[in-house]
Amino acid sequence: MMNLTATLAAVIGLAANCADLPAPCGLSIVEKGSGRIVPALMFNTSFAVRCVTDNDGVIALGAPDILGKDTWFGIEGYGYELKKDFIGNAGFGVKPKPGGSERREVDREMKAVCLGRLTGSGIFAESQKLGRRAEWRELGDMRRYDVQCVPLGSRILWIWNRAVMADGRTVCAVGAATDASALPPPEPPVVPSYKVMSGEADMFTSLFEKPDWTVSLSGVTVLRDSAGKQHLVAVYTRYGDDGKALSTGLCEFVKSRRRFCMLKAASGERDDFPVGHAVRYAAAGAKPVVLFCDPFPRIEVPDSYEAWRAGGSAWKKLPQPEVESGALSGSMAYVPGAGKWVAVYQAKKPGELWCAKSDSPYGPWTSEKIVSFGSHAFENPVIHAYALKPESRSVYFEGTLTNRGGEGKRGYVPRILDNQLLYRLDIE
Amino acid sequence: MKLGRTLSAIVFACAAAASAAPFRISVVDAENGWPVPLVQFTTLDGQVFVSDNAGVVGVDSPELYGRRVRFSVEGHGYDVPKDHSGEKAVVLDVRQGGRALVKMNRAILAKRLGRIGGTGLFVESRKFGEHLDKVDQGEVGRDSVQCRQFGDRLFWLWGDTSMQHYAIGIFNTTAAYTPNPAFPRDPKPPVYPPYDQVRDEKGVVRGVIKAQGSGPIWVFGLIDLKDRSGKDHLGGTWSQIRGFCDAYKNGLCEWNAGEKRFDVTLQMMDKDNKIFPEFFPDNNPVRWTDPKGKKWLLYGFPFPHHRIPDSYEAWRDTNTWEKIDWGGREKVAKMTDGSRIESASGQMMWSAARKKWVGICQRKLDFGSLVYMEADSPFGPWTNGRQIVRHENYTFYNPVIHVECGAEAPYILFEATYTDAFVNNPNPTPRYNYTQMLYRLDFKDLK
Repeated sequence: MMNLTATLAAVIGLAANCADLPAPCGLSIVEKGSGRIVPALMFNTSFAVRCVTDNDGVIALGAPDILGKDTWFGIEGYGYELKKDFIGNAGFGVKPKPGGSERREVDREMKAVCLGRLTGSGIFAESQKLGRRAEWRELGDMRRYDVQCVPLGSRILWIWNRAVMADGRTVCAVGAATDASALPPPEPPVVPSYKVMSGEADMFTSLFEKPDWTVSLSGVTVLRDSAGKQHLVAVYTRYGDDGKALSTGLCEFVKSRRRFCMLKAASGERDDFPVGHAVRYAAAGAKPVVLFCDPFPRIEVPDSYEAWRAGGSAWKKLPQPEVESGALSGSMAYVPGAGKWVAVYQAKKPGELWCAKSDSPYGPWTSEKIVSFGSHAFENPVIHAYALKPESRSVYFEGTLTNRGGEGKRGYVPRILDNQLLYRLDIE
Repeated sequence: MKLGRTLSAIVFACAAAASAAPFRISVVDAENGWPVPLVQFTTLDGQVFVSDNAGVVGVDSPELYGRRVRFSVEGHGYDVPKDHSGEKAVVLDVRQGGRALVKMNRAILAKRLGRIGGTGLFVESRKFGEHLDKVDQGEVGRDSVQCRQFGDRLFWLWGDTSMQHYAIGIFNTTAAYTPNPAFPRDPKPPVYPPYDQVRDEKGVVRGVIKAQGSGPIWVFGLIDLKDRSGKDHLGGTWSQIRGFCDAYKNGLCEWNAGEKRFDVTLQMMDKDNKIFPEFFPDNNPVRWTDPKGKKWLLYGFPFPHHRIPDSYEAWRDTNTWEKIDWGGREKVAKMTDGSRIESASGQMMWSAARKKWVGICQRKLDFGSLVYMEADSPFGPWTNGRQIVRHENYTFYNPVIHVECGAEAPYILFEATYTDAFVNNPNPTPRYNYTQMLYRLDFKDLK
């Protein structure tokens, strides 16, 4: 016993001096059938540890009380499922070995394919724990959401209405650009490639002239005036500490100041303004218009800077179509390969994401549910219209997974909440 | 087997290398420097890090390295100052291999000693190569402890038990032995429970009572008894459960030390056959000697409502069981502010150090708090009530006092089940949820 105790003490002493940790085990989650990786999928252990796949569809299992132990992972994903066992539990067991790898399949129960996360930090954190993706660099935000996107020359301009930094600093209306030629990947993983707007030290400086205001930009678009000059414009809404809208008005990006500047004093309610997502449309024989949609056209404005600025009768308010489930927020676009107008939207039941199709931007629409996010909500889904080509039969859309809204208990989804997730939806 | 598990854990910890040490947060009580377990650090993107029994957190998310990171801090009775946003939070420069010390102000009267069940009691410390000799028991959660001296050891049992390998655990009571006392005198964190767990032939934690119907079967009212010949017995009341905590059968059972199981010796209640005994001894019993010198077992939660003569034979004979007449007095505790509280569950003991009967209880409609109270008699009046622990949006149920620490101790040790049951908390605490937390209350802190 004495010798054994001494040996044990020596081993413990040696172990205590170990500078290195055991290598984690990589758990890869793939879709059954296709084998494509599944990002942003959460699992729960029986002792309340939550694990979420990163954009490479992996989880690094490195916790000392998980490595080497038979561990149950209950699936908590949205749109991806596992068949329940005879007791009613859906999940799988893994006994992860240090430095090893495991692979498990899940069933995709929704029509859309999750391509990955676009914002926030730790997009490849699990891969990095496994020694991969060493080149990947983070931008520094932890939550970045509520996006608008608009083609601007050879680039796509992205504006997020909120960015929350790791130290707690919150910035409204931050922007970045991507190359217009950089289309979303049809298969995961997505690797975000946002570039800092010229003249800024980093992305996280407000693009609004009042950086201390709590403000959101909406209806961001580019309009030409009668002289042919382009104007980058938007509608701003200022919010109070209680989250209520204080004022709404028009604003325009002023190159010399590199900021959106207010154009005139606010008048009217936010809903009376051309907010939402701008879609260009020209009916046969009619003058082109810009439809401001959320997700269906709400305000129709002649496609000119002057009309947009004029307001009043130049802004034609449109009746909202009746759709199954109702619609809270979303966007629409014409999908040439399918010959259909397609809208993707958050239903009135906030956790539900729906898709609607029509032959006309004004409807009528036929709709179907894409997926339910259960107790969470998927806000402000935005179709990447710039990525639609003549042969396109798919839409790419992103939205914000959040615990605002939704139903019932709403827990953390580590790294994911209040960030943007990108999906592909094939239109039949 | 225990040694084997220890060695394999250590060897495992020295296995293939992956990276340098994570960022270390050491959490201590500002008053005494003791490590503080169960302090939750949450980043703005919902990553949760919780201090282990050594008060250590190992932040190992690579994307946080090199950043100034704000963590909201929930210490469940231990606080950091609020920041400009009105939240309890700290901002730390997170670096791989770096460290930070976070001092907590204890806002509760009791001191948290640590978690004594579940997995990963020292999981964060092990990221730094520390406490490698502390192995887990193989269960990941359990509730409603009962603990009694049996022979020269302590016998422990728990209600339901969660396991790591599957979503469903063990529902027919698990049990363990420890030396007596289980913890050193004048205990300080970090604590580590020296359980000798009852296991099956494969070394896996197993249940210790055969179900008497469908559903879980629990044992409460655990009591050590001597028979006329001086032989030790360990008895309890089993309850067969259906639906939501609906006991539909119950009776007496006795510990079979040879077989390491409880044997059912009597069935009492049978709801389906409309058999409802007035009393069954399933609360926390306490020993009491009446003015005539007769020894009794008082049963209450904690206010005693029935009594049984203190012998094995009497405990088995329902004819000796008596209802206690409180003479119209309220079974409540009076707080120092004059308010009165009802007990949802609790226990009492005689404290020679305090020269009082001292009790703790979970107050009704405030599931995360415990109240201390004291009296000159087990039948009250119970006064000097104070809140001694609190858990934010959490439940802390079925508290028990470790009476084996003795009446002379200038403190009481107590534990209860920390669980997200009965509250609307969507974020159960990793590893801590549904486990037993041990606290210590020093009488000198009641001044």
